[in-house]
This record gives sequence, C-alpha cells and structure tokens, in this order.
Amino acid sequence: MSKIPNVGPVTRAITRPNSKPKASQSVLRALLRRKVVVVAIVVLAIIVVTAAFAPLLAPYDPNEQDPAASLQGASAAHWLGTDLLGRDVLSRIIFGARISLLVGAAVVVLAGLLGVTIGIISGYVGGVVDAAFMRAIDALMAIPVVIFGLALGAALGGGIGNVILALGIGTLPVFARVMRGQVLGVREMDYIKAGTVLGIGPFRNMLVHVLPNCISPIIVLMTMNIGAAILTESGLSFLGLGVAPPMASWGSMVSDGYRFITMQPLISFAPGIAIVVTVLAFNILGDALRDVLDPRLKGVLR
Amino acid sequence: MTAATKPVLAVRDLRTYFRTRTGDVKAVDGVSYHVNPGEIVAFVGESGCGKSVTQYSTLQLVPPPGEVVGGEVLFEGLNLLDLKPYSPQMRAVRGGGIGVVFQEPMTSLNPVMTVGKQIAESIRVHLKLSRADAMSRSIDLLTRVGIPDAAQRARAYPHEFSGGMRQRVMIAMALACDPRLIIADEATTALDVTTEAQLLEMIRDVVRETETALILVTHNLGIVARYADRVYVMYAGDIVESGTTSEIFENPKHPYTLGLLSAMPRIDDPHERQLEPIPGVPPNLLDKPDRCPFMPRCPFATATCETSPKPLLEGGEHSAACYEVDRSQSLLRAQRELREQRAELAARSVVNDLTAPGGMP
Repeated sequence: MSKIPNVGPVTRAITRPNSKPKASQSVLRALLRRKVVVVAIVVLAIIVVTAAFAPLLAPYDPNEQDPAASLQGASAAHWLGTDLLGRDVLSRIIFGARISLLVGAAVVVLAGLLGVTIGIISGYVGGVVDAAFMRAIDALMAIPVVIFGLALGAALGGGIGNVILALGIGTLPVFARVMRGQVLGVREMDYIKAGTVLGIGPFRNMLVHVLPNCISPIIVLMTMNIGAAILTESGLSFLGLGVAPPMASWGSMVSDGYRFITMQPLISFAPGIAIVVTVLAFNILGDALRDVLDPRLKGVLR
Repeated sequence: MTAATKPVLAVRDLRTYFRTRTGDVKAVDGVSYHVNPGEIVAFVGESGCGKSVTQYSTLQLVPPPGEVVGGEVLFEGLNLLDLKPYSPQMRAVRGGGIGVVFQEPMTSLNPVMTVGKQIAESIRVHLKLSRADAMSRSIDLLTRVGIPDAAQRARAYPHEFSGGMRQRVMIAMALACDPRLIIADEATTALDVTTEAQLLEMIRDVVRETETALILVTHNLGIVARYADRVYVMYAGDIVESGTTSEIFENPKHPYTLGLLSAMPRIDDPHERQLEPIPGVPPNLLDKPDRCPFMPRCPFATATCETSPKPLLEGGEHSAACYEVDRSQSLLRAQRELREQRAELAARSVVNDLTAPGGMP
C-alpha cells in the first residue's frame, strides 16, 4: 500500500485571517474604528495620567485650608473656585481621581476574582455545589448594593477599605452569574470533554480550557462595572460612609458642596461632572469591548 | 487468540447501563474482547449499538446516568474498573496509555489556544516535560502527522486549519504521549472520503511503525475491510460476531453480519445485485429480554431462538453469537453457488455475443 505523507499544497490548511481576532492588536483596531470609543479612551487616559501625577499637576495642596479664601468663584488663582474651608476645588478633584479610580478598579477586581471563581466552580461542578452557590448569590442579589454598603459601613465603620469590600461583595453576584452561564455553555463543548479524555484533571481543565473561553464577557462586565462602582462610591461618600474626611473623593465633594449650590454651584458641579464623564467613558468602552469581543455581534455593529 | 503476545487491552463481560427513570437501558450488555499490541481492531455496528459507549466505559468516562455495572477491563494487566474514575492513575491512563481521537475535528479543539499549546498541554500533564520541551515535541508530532511547516503552524489557532488538518492535529494529540492503544471513535466520519483515506493510511502507518494498538470504531464497512486486522460486529449492546477481517467479509456467520454485507454496495460485484436492507429496527435497549437481540429481524430465526437465552460467542478465532449459524451458512453457500452460476452464464453469453455471426453494416 502506498504511503501517504505526500502532503501537497492541496491539503494545506486554508488560512482565514479575518475570521477571528488573532491577537489583542486586532481587537484594538476594531475598537478604534468608532470615534466615540477613541474619545472615551483618550478621556480615560487623561484621567489615569491625572490621578497618577496628581501631586505634580494640582496647583495647591488639596487639604490646605485657607479661611480667607472661603467659597470663592472661579478665578485665575482658583480655576474652579474654593470650598467652605478655602480648599482649591480643582486640586481636590485631581486628587479625588485617585480615590475614584482606585475604588473602581479594586471593586471590579475583587468582584471579578470572587465572582469568576464562584461562577466557574458552580458551572463546572454543577449539582448540589451549583445549587448552593447560586442560592447564596440570589440572596446577595436581593440586597441593593447601596443598602449593603450602608449596612457593612455601619457594622465595620467607614473608610476606603470597607467601601471596596462592600462594593466588591455587592457586585460579585453579577460576575458569578455571567460566568456560570458561560461555563455551562462551554462545559459541553467537545474540547472540554477532549481534555478530560486526554487525562487533564478537572482543575487544570477549568483553568486552561474553560476560563479563557469564558473570559471575554467578564472583561466587558468589568469595564462597565468600574463606572457603577465609582458611582456607588460617590453615593456612599455622599452619605458619609466613604473616605475619611480630610481626603478628597468626588462623591464627598458633591456632598460637601450641595449646601452652597445656589451660591457656588461649581463646588459640587465640578466633581459631579468628573463623575459623569468618567463613568460615561468607562461605559462606552465597555459597550465597545462587548461589541468587539462578542462574535455574535461581529459584522453587525461597526 | 494468539498465545504468544499478551493483549494490551482485555475486556471481559463489560456491562454499562443507563439508569433512567423508566428502567435500565442496557447499552453495553456483557461484552468481551481483546486487542493485541500493534493490532488494528474494528468495532462495527449501526448507530446506538453501543460501540462508542463500550470505548468510553473502558476509560470510565460514561456520562451520567450511564454506569459501568460490571465486568473487567484489563489494560496492560491492570483492571481499570478498580480505579476511581478521576483518580491520578486513571488520568494517567487516559491520554497517557490510551489516546483517543474524536469524531468532530471542528469542535474538539479549544478555539482560543494555539494547536501547538494544546498538544503540549497533554504532554506536560503526562510526561512532565517543560514548556519548551513539550512544545518542540508537539512540533515533531505535527510533522509526523503530515502538517507542513509544523514549527510555524503550531502557533496557529484551530480556526486557521481545515477539517482534515484539524483531525491531523487531533491525531497528534492522541499520539502525544506514546500511548500503547489508540481509540479512534468515528474519527474520520465527518471528513470527505479522500481526506478520510489519507488520514487512515497515515494512522495505520504510524501505528504499524510504533507497534501501537488501534481500535477503529466505525459504521463504515469499507474502512473496516481496508484497514482492520480483526473485527467485532456489535448489535444492540452485544458483540454478535468476531473474527479476522477476511473471515468476516468472506464467510460471515451471524445473520446480522450477513445482513450488513448484503446492504453494502460492492464495486467488484459484476452483477447488478439488489442491495437488501435489513427489515425492522434495532430493539429497545430498555428492559431488553434475555434472548438473541437480533431474533425479531432475523430471517433464520426458529422457535429455539425465541425461547432460548441470549446466545454467546462460541469462542475461537472466528465466532458468532447465534444458534442457527448452520442455516445462515447454507444460505451463504447457496448464494455463492447462484452467483457462480450466473457469472458462468454471463461469461458464456459474452462469448456467444462475440462469436455470434453477424454482419457489420
């Protein structure tokens, strides 16, 4: 019988370079196709740079009080005016970006890690484990995040660590559910079974085969939840549970300023606008990421 | 059975039932077989006859509610059914001692991982090689299964491969850890015939070269005839006939095998033979009665068949599980005689035509 290994060009695999994004590069290219997204990315970059170089960029010490310069309007010396204690609003917004970004990122990372872990175990193992986890998640979901934050704040006290913890746990159910749903679908794929048949253990299978196939909606969810977390942190700070008083956070600044809203609207408007712009930018980025990463929407939304 | 070589895999009285609400479905109902080193053994039968479930039972990977309820699976002398399904020893057998090639090359590869890494994955798990060593080994494997430019193709993703190429990758994965046995579960069914032939010949060459045993699960008798050394014919969860490929094809004993062969067109058949379907449908495996499963469809069935318990393989090199082997054999002889007579007649008429006087216009 003749030997085959005569593998000519006929049997060579057909490459279709555009059928799926091969590397992160092509994802980026697809993202940058829409102008709104470019704007959002630029805005976020500016905010991140501002937060990183806050001490260099801020014209004043954000906590320095100057009773003589209390409640001033916008001027050359104080671009966005000063608050009741005479602190420079612009400097406080610049430093507040650190808190907002930190809280946003930390909450999403915490919720993502916990949620993904719970979701993947729940979906992969199934049965009683799944039921137990999901009922717990349902219970957690029944409590609004702000109420949960308030309760935890009341129990453990305020402070940024507790805010992150409260928001992280409060946001976790979304991640766990999305992840579980993804895993339930991926688990039945032939390549997961192939992994088992080829002797790859359940943990390695989860990590190597299941996780990478479920992660793209999670990335989207994270981006979108950064905005939500910043917003909720602002809300909690507004209610007095956020960062400790002298420190600046956008939410607490809105809270401090609203009493003077008729006299000096800038004091609360300026940080408020910062919140809106940041959250909006994150949401636009999240939406765009979803469109790019979700193969079902490919070719529909460009 | 050759006494000189010890079989790689020896299965005795394997039973796998699916425990459903309405009762036990006996998907594998007391199956015994063996596979010798370097041997190519085919499992044939129609859909749902238990050929695949048998293979997954030996690996202890029957999906619930399926359950291996009895029997013995000796792989290199070790009874696999004694091991816990997810114990490290069992995992070492899967992919290490026994490689598996699946039916669906399009979906059996992880879409977000390069093929090189996927092959390396199994190598790293079983042979405990470093990342770099595993990768160079997977490139070697890709070359061996006939993928051109393997070093570069190893960095490609599954969607960049055609179906046949992906199946080559799957074969490379099955071969990755020098298994002693490869199970190809309908491995080439999804491919076109040309690719199928190329792949099977490649697998055969590799298997012959490395003295690896191969189980071919298929419903394609053409493949069996061409590549297998020995054949097990399965019907409704039982092995109804076993023997060497030539014996099975030239001298089928079991009425079911006979039926299968008469339902298959043959290109070397000089006469326009009618293909004969086997009437009826396979029995419901739920609450299967203890009698010959083929009896209701069998043209040779007698009163004995209806009342006696399930016939067992008579044993020996070529054996069938049937009470009425003589009857089917005599039919076969009659058919053969008829065919010979016809051939003779046909030959004579051709000669007549040629020698007949007739003027060309």
